[in-house]
Parts: sequence; structure tokens; C-alpha cells
Amino acid sequence: MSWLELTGIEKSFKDIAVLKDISLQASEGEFVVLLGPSGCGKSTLLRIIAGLEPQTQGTVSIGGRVVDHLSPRDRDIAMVFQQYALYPHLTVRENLAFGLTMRKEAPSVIKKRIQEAADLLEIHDLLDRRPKELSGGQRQRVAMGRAIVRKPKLFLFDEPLSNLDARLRTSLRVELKKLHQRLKTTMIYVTHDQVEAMTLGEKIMILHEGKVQQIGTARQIYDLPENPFVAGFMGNPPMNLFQGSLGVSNGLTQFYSGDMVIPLPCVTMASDANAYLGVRPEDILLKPSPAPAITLSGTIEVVENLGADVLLYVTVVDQRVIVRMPPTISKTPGEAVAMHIPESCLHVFVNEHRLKWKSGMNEG
Amino acid sequence: MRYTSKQAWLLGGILLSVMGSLFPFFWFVITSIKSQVRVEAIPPTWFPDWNFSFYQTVFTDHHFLRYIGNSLMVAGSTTVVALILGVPAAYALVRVRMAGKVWILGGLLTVSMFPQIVIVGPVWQMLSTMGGLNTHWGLVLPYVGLTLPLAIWILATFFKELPTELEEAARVDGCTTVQTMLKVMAPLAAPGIFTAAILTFIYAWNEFFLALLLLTDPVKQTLPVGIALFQGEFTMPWGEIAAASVLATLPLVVIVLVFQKGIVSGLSAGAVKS
Repeated sequence: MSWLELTGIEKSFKDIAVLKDISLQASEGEFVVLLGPSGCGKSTLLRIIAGLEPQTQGTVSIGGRVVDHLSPRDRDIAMVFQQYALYPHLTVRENLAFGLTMRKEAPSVIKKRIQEAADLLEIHDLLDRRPKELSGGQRQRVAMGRAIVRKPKLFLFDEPLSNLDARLRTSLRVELKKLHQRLKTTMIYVTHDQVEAMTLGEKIMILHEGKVQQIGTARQIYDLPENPFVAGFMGNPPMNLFQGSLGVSNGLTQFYSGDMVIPLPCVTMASDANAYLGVRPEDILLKPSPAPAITLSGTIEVVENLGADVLLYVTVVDQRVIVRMPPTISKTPGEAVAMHIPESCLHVFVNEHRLKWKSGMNEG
Repeated sequence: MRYTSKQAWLLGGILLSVMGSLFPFFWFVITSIKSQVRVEAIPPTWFPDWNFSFYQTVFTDHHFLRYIGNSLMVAGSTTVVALILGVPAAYALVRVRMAGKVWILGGLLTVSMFPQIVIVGPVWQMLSTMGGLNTHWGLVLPYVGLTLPLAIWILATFFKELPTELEEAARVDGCTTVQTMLKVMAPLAAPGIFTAAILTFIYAWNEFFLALLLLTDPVKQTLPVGIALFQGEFTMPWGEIAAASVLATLPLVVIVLVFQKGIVSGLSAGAVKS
């Protein structure tokens, strides 16, 4: 049995199923990210783990103990909320002490723990202020402090950075990672931001419409997306994903999408009406590749300079392909380009599932 | 500063309504500091002669302190009981998921609209059976019943404004539902609790009709009844009535001023990102 285990969690509000058969295992000390677009049920799942919301079916166990019948206070968890949820009538110090006081810790212990948390988060100067006198970033630090002082078995984060501006988000993200490395406590972190998920998560679970799409490391999910949803969701700019069908012509598998036809010599597969072909913008080369590759010709429509990268928006027949290039490249709109895509970089999905077409290749 | 005609009208209206509502008060304040001769002068005189003898006789001849004590007892108990019942009731009505919540709240409002004359008979009957006539608790009971709906409505409005995340934080931090209510929600709803307390207290302090009917023993009577019964068979002691009324109003003024300090607006600011 894993340290944290969700088994067959289902949740319905009235007749609407918001979570369907969710199972997840995490080992002690792991940083798990629940990632998905808004409305996918990730926050509901977190609230079920916290005990704030009862599940319709399934079991939650924390530290080898089934906690389904336990209220949040008895689950030994701490939660950091999106809106901080600091007690406005208490000072920062009292906010930090609140959970410990409720658990009847000795005053000397409380004092020590507050000191430690304040050291860790550098919030000494704020201890005697009230939440309304703090900035957003400071409030979220205090909220984290309130979780830390409790020394819980499990930390739950519900989109803690989403109310902060971009720069603050980046710096707090790094701090959070440092925090996890120091505390080595299991953390479950809900976010819709794939950058947060990629950078923080040792294990990422992608949710969409209440169902688990894929569970894996950031690398696995990015390199080997399980289905078209994950492929399109992870990555910025997103993967070029064409919807179409597979067919066989002249003994060769072909991918048809609109008026575009792409031969796929690597795929030995009969035809299928529901298929996707995907390729990441950074996997496309503008010069011939030594490895087996397919070639597409198109016309550059727009050139976007992002500083570190240049994005080319290329029209191929009736489709658009985004290509990511180093800034040294000089291309102008209207120019014709030949794009080379190594076969190993192609993602083929049939019936919403990743197609593994050669042994030893493209497999997780 | 110059006023536009619209502002002038508005200002005039405000002054008129303030004067209208303060005039009776003003009249009995000046009456209370007149001498008996000036009180009875016809036509009435505007000018008091700064004679405070009525204030003295109120205490010496009319058991004023006893009435004050009774009223404090009754209004204080009513307020405390109404809050003890009203705070959890309002909190539950706002937060607990239950069927028919709207009907309960609507029902409360309906109950509070019953005219007193309709309920006074049954109330008298019930208290008579329970042995509650001529007791203070017998008066507190209907007062609580009558003020509770309003108190619950005021408190529910305040609880509804508070973010649910705070409660969840409290629950995760180790609070039971009751602790959450007392340690987190009630302090944040303090302005609402003070408002409900003030209104309940004022109601119980001023209430006359039920008090007159339920308390016939002069030793138990409250201030409004006591003052009304100053009048003798052949005399109408206007001066004493005025003096007692002024004194009866003072505690209310003091209480409102004191509680107002507690009504710190924006106490919940900073709880969540606004």
C-alpha cells in the first residue's frame, strides 16, 4: 500500500458526476500535482482528500490509514487556499498559532514553531500585523506559514499562486520547491498552470472532465502524452495537433487531415477514422535530418519574436503549424519553407489513445 | 459654501425630519427642568427655569431605581438569550445544507409581523399555566420570541458575507463546527452581532404593552410601565414623567455609543483578496 492512496473516487453533485473513478498512489514525501483546466474537478478532489467534501464513492487513505470517516481536523493535514483564508481578526502571529492552540500545544512549542516558520519564510517583520496590512505575496507566505507550523503529515495546496502577479508567482514557486526539499513532507498541489505543474511536480496527474487523463512525471507526460487532450494541454506553445484519419494507400499508411496528406512510413497500421497526428513546435527542423523524417512544405505567415525563441506560424495546405526556432534564424513572412520532422518525434493517437508503433521507440 | 436648489431642498427636508423626530424629546427635556408652575403654565412656556427638583422626586417618590433595575434585568436577559439562540441559528441557516431553508427564513419573517394584540392573549394564557405571570423570565420569554426573527435575519446577512474558505481553514486547523463559529465566524460577524444586540435591547427596553399586561406586581414592573403608572387618580405629574423619560433614554444613548465602537467596519478586509 502506498503512503497516500485514492481508490475509485467518485463524486456527484445531484445527478452531475464531477469525478469519475479517480485512483492515485503517492509515496511519502512526494510532490504530487493535480493539473487540469478549470472545472475539471481537481479542487473537488483536493477537498475530498482534505475531508471538506465527502466523496460519493471510493476510499482515501493517508499514511496507511483510511480516513474516509474522519473530519478534516483529524486527518492531520494542512491546507493553503487560493484566497489565503487568513483570519482577518487575528495578527499574523495569532494566525500562525491558531491551529496549534486548537490542538492544545504548549505555549513554548507554539513560540518555537512560529519562530521556525518565520525564519523559513522570512516573515519576522510581519508577525504583529493583521492580514489586511499585507500584500498578496505576504499573505500567501503567511498562509504557507500557517500550514508549516502545524507539521502535518500532508500539505494540500489549492491554486495558491493563482492570485499573484507573474513575477511573484515565479519567485514563490521556487520558494515552494525549496520548502518541499527542506520539509520532505508529502504535498498535493492543485493548479491549472502547466508551468507550475512541470516545475514542481514529481508526479503529475492530469484531470479533464472528471477523469484521469494521465499520471506520470513531467518528462513522461511531456514526451509521451497518453491522449490528444494531454498532448494539446501540455506545452507552450501547444503541440501542433491535427485531427484526421488514417488510411492505407499504395501499401503505405497515410494521415489525412482536411486537404493535407502526410505519409507515415513508420506506422504499420490499418485505417482508422478517428486519429490525431501531433508534433511539438521545437521538434520541427528546417534542415534535413539524418534520422528518418517526414517533410512538409508550407509558407510562413507570421513571425513572432519572443526574445529567447522565434515562433514561425506556417501554413501547410489548409492547416497551421507552429515552429519554434532559436532567435538566430532570420525568416520573413511569405517565405516558403520545408519542415523536417523526425519520425521519432511524431505523436500518433488512434481512438483517443497513443499509438505505439515500433518496439523500443516512443514508448514509456 | 453655496448650495444648489436641489441640495437646499434636501437639506431643508433633512432638518425638518430631524427636528420633527427630536421635538418631543426636546420638549420633555425642557419640561423636566421646569418648576411645577412653569410646567402647568397656559400658554406653555418655551423657557425652563433650570429646576431639577423633578429628578429628585422621581427617585424619592416613584421607585425609579427599582424600575431601572427591572428593565436592565429584562432587556439584558432578552439580549443575551436572543444572541445565544440567534447566533447558532443564523449560522446554521446560512451554512448547513438543508431542505426548506428559504421557508424557515420566510417563516421567521412572517412570525415577526404578527401584531402584538393577536399574540398577547395566548401568551398570557401560556404564561399563566406555566406560572410565568409577574416574573421577569415570563416577560423575557415572549421578548426573545419577538426579537429573535429580526436578530436571526441580521446575523444571517452578516454570516452570509463571510468567505467559506475561512471556515474550511478553521476546520482544517482543528476546529469543530461550534469552535469555528465561536472563534472565527462570530468575531468577524461582530458588527452584525452588535447591531442585533442593540436592536434587541432597545426593543425590550422600550416595550410597554406586554410588560403592562404580564407584570401587574409593581415590584416587578419595568420602566415604561412604571413611568406610565406615575399618574395618580387626580394628578398627571408631567414633570416627573418627563424627568424619568429623560433618564430612561440615557442608557440607550450610552449603549449605542459604546457598541458603536465595536462596530469596526471592514473588519473582514484582508481575509480574502477583494
